[in-house]
Amino acid sequence: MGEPREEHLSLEALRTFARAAGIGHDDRRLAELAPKIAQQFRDLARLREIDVAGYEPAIWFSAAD
Amino acid sequence: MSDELVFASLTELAAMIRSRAVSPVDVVRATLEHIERIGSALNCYITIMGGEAEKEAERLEQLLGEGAYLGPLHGVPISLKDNICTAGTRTTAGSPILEHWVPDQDATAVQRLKAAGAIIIAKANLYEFAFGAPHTRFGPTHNPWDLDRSCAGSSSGSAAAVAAGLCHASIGTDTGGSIRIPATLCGIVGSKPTYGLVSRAGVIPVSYNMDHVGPMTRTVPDAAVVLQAMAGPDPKDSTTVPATLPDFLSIIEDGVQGLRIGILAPQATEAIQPEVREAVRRAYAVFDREGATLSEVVLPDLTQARTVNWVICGAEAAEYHRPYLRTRAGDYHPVVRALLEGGEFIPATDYIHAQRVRRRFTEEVRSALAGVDVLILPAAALEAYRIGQRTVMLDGLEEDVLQANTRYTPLFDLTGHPALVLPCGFSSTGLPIGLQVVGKPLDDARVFRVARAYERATDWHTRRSRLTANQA
Repeated sequence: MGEPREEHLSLEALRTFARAAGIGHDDRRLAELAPKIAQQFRDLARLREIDVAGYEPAIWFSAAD
Repeated sequence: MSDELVFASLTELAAMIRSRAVSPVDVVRATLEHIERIGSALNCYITIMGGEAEKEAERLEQLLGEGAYLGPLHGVPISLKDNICTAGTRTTAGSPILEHWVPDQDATAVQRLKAAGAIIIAKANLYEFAFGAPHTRFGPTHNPWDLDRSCAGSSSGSAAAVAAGLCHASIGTDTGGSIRIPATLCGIVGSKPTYGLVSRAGVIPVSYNMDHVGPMTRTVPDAAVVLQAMAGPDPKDSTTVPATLPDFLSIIEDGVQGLRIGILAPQATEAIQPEVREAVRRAYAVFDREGATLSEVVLPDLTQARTVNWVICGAEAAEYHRPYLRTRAGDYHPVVRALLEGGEFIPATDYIHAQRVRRRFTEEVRSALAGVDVLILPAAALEAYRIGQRTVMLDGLEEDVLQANTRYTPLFDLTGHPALVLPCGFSSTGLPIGLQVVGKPLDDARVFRVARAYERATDWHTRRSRLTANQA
């Protein structure tokens, strides 16, 4: 499944994503969430434009774990 | 006498207790009476631990009589945001989901506070799971400066309680500004220490990568004392810093003569209430007068930082909450539920990208700090807004109040730099305005020093709200 984009935010697309990810919402809840998810995908698209060449993820961990 | 006790600074009170000018029993009684008088108007506490606190005060009084002094918090009443676990006392996280949950262990920070002699007097109200909004089961905390106004969040109860004299310090948590924003709106000091300085063990998480535990107090030295008691490596939290702990009070009175202070170069997206802008500019002038050298520094885009913070926070919180989302989704506040459910739709690739942006921003903040000792900038873009208010007009544009008020804080949760807020003025409506001081990693002592220099040069921290001035 490709990464969902704003233009694909039909209920069907959300349903497919939710099922694939094990998110068990019914259609009514998915429809309620759709505007928020669409905005979120717009924010994520802007985030992807930030150049991170040369930067590794900053996830904390300890070698002692 | 009661008024003198509940509004004494923590360090003043600790000195009175140590010299036996007052007893911990008197202090706890005065605090409980004060809570009885005005606590319900503020709705700042979820659980008041009166019986336990009185018993502990008696024990600590007896120890003093035997010549035993546990430490700088001996007999001092402290409250905890209710996402910090307390053995034998419910820890609700402000949610019906955990309303009756009683942990069997204290959080590490609580163990350390108790070891230094603190008396835990109450569990403070908060946004549900430190996220988004207060649940209607517990209701919003009211701002002591204007009961119709919000304290924002998420450590709302902690901020109101400290400002109103219902404890001498409270412990909050900060993932995007949750210590610093309510502290600002209530006119108190809030310290988000360097990431890893205080253990997160026993604190209900929002974001494993960005949760910080820190003190909220009425003065800067009080915050330093409480942080000193809580900080240090903890085998239960692998992200705690193994460094030798500095003495946070050692240079606190040294002033800013000769220090280099960076101020934020204007950003295109930086809409701010004019009175806040003016108050912060006047604070710059105070530092200049006190002998510091000020120069503009460039920080990463604050709006982008907020988005990155949200992506990391949203994904991590959604993962933590997944079991509850599957079984008790209807028990969340609708705003919190939607935020968490949104987090489940963040692709892993975007999460990793956000972590790379975080690395970049961390290096950019380090570069900005390379030529200066600290940064100062606003703490929140606007004064306390009305409870229920959703939007605000700033620089001619309508903006969500939550977004507007998280303009200046999430960047430093991303980067882990120490950041402290303190009052720097009041708006024409009589509401507090805050200033933020940001330091280099593990240089919390210098943050306290700079903040203390400003505090000494001004009297904002001595003002009291009408509510407490009338009723204490």
